[in-house]
Formats: sequence, C-alpha cells, structure tokens
Amino acid sequence: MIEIALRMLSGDRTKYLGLVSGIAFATLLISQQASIFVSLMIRTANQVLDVREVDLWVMDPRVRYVDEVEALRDVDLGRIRGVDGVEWAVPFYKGTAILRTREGLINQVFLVGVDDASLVGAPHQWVKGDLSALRRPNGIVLDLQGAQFIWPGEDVPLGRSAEINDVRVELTGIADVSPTFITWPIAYMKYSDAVRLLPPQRNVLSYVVVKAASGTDPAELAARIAARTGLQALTWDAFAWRSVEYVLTRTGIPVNFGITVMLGILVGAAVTAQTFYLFVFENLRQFGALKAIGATNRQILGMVLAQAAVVGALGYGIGLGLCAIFFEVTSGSAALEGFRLVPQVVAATGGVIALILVLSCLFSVRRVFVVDPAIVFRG
Amino acid sequence: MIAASARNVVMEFEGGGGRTRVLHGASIEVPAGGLTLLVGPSGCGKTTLLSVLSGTLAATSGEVEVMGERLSDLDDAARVRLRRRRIGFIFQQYNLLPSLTVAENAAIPLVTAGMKLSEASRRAQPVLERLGMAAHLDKLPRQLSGGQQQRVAIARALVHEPALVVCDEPTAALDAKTGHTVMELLRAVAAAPGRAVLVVTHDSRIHEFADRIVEMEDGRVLGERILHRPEAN
Repeated sequence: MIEIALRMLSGDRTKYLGLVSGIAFATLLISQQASIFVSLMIRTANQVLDVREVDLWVMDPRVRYVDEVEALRDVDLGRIRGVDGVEWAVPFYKGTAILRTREGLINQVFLVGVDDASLVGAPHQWVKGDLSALRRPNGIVLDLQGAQFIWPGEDVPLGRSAEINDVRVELTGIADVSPTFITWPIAYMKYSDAVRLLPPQRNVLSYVVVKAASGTDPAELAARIAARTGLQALTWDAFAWRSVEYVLTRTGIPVNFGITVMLGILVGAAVTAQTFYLFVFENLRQFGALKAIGATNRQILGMVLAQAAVVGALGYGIGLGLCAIFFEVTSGSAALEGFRLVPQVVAATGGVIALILVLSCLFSVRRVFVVDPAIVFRG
Repeated sequence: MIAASARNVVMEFEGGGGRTRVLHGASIEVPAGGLTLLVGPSGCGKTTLLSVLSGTLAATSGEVEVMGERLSDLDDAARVRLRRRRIGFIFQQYNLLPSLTVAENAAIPLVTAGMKLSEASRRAQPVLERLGMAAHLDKLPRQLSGGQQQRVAIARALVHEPALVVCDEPTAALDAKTGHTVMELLRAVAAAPGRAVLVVTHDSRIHEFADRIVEMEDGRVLGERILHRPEAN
C-alpha cells in the first residue's frame, strides 16, 4: 500500500512539487531566521564565552548583562582573592573609548583591559602578531573585523599608530575573536594601559575574573564570594545566559524574529495543509474505491502518512540545504560573521515540520475516514 | 446456492432537514452461477441496494446475507475483510488509479490483502491476459480506451477470485459495441462455478446477457424474470 501511495503522490506532479516547495519554504524561513536569532543571542555572550580560562565573573550587584558595567573598587580584588577556594583572581576592564586614526577618522570601540601579568582574557587566535603584542607599551590588539572596519580595503600592517582618548597607541597585533552583539571594533590592551587612557574617575575595575581551586565547585565558590564580599559572582555560563536573557527580555529582537518564525510556521502549515487537503480531496474517489475493495482506515492512514513523510523529507532537506547555502554564501560578510546553521535549530525545525505534516495529514485524512465506500457507486 | 440476499431492507439517509427513505423493504436473492441484472428507472434505489448487498453501506433495517454471513452480525473490520476476500467491484467510472500501470491496478485487491505490489502484479497478469489485455500490461489508464479501462476494472474485480462480483452501470460510459463486449466478458465471469454477478443498469440493450432480471421502482423490488436457468454446477 505504501508503494501505491507514493505512486499516487508522484503521479500528481503539480501538487507533489507544491507540497515539497511549501515544506522547503517553511524549513528555510524557520531555520534561517531561528539560526540568525540564536547566533545573534550567542553574540551577546561572546565576550564572556571568549574568556575561556576562568570559572567565575565577579561584578557589582547591579550589573544585569556584560555590557552594563558598574565599576568595582580596587580593594574588592584583594577581598575576592582572600575567599577560600579561589586559586587566582585578576582584574578585567571592559568599557568603550574613542579611537582616532591618523587620517582623522573617529571610531567608537570596545576597550578591553586584560591582566598585565597573566594576560587572562586575551585573544586566543592570532591573525598578525602574538600574545607578546599586548606586553608592548601602549600596544593595542584589534579584532580582524574591527581592523578592516577602521582601515577598510587594505591589509592593515602592524605598527600603525592611532589615538585612543587622545593618547597615542600602536597596533601591535590583530586577532580573530568572536563578534559582539554591537559590532564595534574591539581593542585589547594591558589592564594598566587601558585604565591609563580613561578620563579621571574614582573606580575603573569592571570585573574580577576568578579561577576556582582544584576540587572547588564553581557554583559554591560563587555563593561564598557573594556572601563574603556583597558582590555579584556568577559562573561563566550563568553570566553568559544572564546577558542573553537581558536581550531576550529587554529588547524587541525576540518578538521580531519570533514573528518571522511564526510566519514561516503558519505559511508552511497553511500551504502544506491546504495542498495536502486538496490532494486527498481530489483523490477521494480513489480512496473510496480502495476502501470498497477492502483497504482499512489504518492502511489509508499509512498511505497518507507515507506520502507526508516523503514530501516532508524532501522539502525539509531542500529547505535546510538552501539555508546552509545562505550561511555559506554570507560567511565572508562582517555583519553576519559567526552566523551559522545551529544544530539545535536544525533539530527543532525538523520537529516543527513533522508536527505541521502530522496535523496536515490528520486534517486531510479525516475526509477519507468518514467517506462512505459507497461513494464510488455514485456517479 | 444463494450468493447474496436481502430481506425487507429499509435504507434511510439523514439530510435536507429530515430523513429520506430510499429503500422501502426491498428483498432480493442473487443466486450463484449466473448473471443477475438489477434494473429500474433512475433514483429507484438500485445503486443503494447494490451498496447494501456488497457491504459498503449498512442497512437501516432488514437482513442482508453475503455468502452465508449475516452482515448485521459483522463489525466494520469483519465487513471490510468480507469485501476484501469474497466480493469484486466494478464501477461505472472504473476508478483506476491513474499513476499505476494496468497490471498494478488489477493487482490492488491482492495488495490490500497484504501482498507486495510487484508480486500481486505478476499474479494479475494471467487474469488480464484472459481479458485480452496482454499487450497493455505496462500502460497507464490514460493510454487506454474506455472499454480497455473497464476490462482492467473487471480484472481487478476478479484477481482475488471472489464469489460475488457487483457491477454498477458497467456499460454506461461505453459505446454500444464496447458495452456489448464488456457484457460478454461479465457473462463469462458469471459462468464460473459458484460465482454470482450482480449488475445494476438502466441500459435495456444489455438485458439479453442476463440470466435473471430483477426490477425495482420507488425503493421496492417489483419482481423478477428468469431468462436462463443456470446449469447446476
């Protein structure tokens, strides 16, 4: 019966293609928009995720996400180091600054200051230079996309000078780092150099990043640090999620993407259900004849499910393929850097498409179930 | 031997704001070994009685028996099994599946019984050959004439060797000559031992092929004429 079902399906080429196209379109829309959304959310946490050496981030209790910095007092670093279970704790500066090129171009940049001694928080993948670039006096390391944004259309050489907050700095390295939610260039410096460039202010310590001693549970240590210091201490993954949740709850971005994803689901469901219904409706006499001849409702359901499975698999495959091509083609774009087809989205889209198909089947097959086999005797 | 019978069958349908009675206590016997024509004017209930006798429609009241089984004693699944094993169907519009070949269409009753399509198609070939369709086994229905399509439908009705073959206006969509040929084939089918063929028609040109003619009017069986007495098998 399955073979008969598939022959019936391929025999009606127009509806076959319509069904496959509908599923492919829905898959493309859902997987592409959801992947962009997830990739964008990951960007909000990238500055946390890129600091791979640490277990905990300690910050002012008012901080709600990574870009919202309330400076700590310098003495807090010593207090944190004094908590049992802390292997080491180092300062980490994060703020914004104005970078002016010698050509007079002005760019807003993220300024990141990493611990002078350990260089914890420095980039891991280098395009030009290496870790020693950060040890040079007033040396800055720019992210690759940022360097190309500041000096477009050229292979930026090391040694190029610029000014940050009117202080001369020298480009000593270019690194490949994960893009941030706001795509400003990221300038890395030693902590001591970074804070020297800042306008006079009482406190400059953005975060203290902490490594837990061997055998110490990071979550327990975070609770201990919070209890001892009154500061907010979060494991790296909790802080990353906190940053994602801030964007989810405080911006309209999820609503916008959610609407598009919902449209994809609705359009896909509508096209699929309608086409499937038409396909079944137009074959109602054939199904009626099969029932008269002796096919059971279960066999008919199996036939319709087999037809749905084939158009679903084809449409889903084509849609995912188109989505993968989109991300491959746009992989060189700075604006879409790091955007990719997320495996979890692939699985979730498959689930949604399967649900659409099952509902479409049930919606359509109802007619066959209730059709009187005697329909075939009526002219 | 009686292949199928109906006694005092009443059939009512819901609709149009009330119940419509289509059969008013119709009774009929379809003996094995012959071709029975069920005739009468349009709307007299012929097709409804055929549907009731073939187990595709459940009567509102009355008794229906097919090959000794009382249909009112059977649940839906048992009625489906009965149709699958004991009854062959020939429809006015043939109802062939357009994307299946001639051999595959004829094989459908075997497939519904669980046989693989390829094996069932092989089993259907001798039946098609007997009906003169040997040269058309791999063709699609749209490549055939109306008469050829009806032959495929006859093959489909015979492939599982049913005891009762029911036909609804089998010549209505055919020209006189092709209709004549189809009726000759059905007559040959009815000659098989223990098999009954029941044909609903309002085509008076085919009366000559009948062993018995049962006349209906206004949902009632008026009477029957026996034209040929079936030979005892």
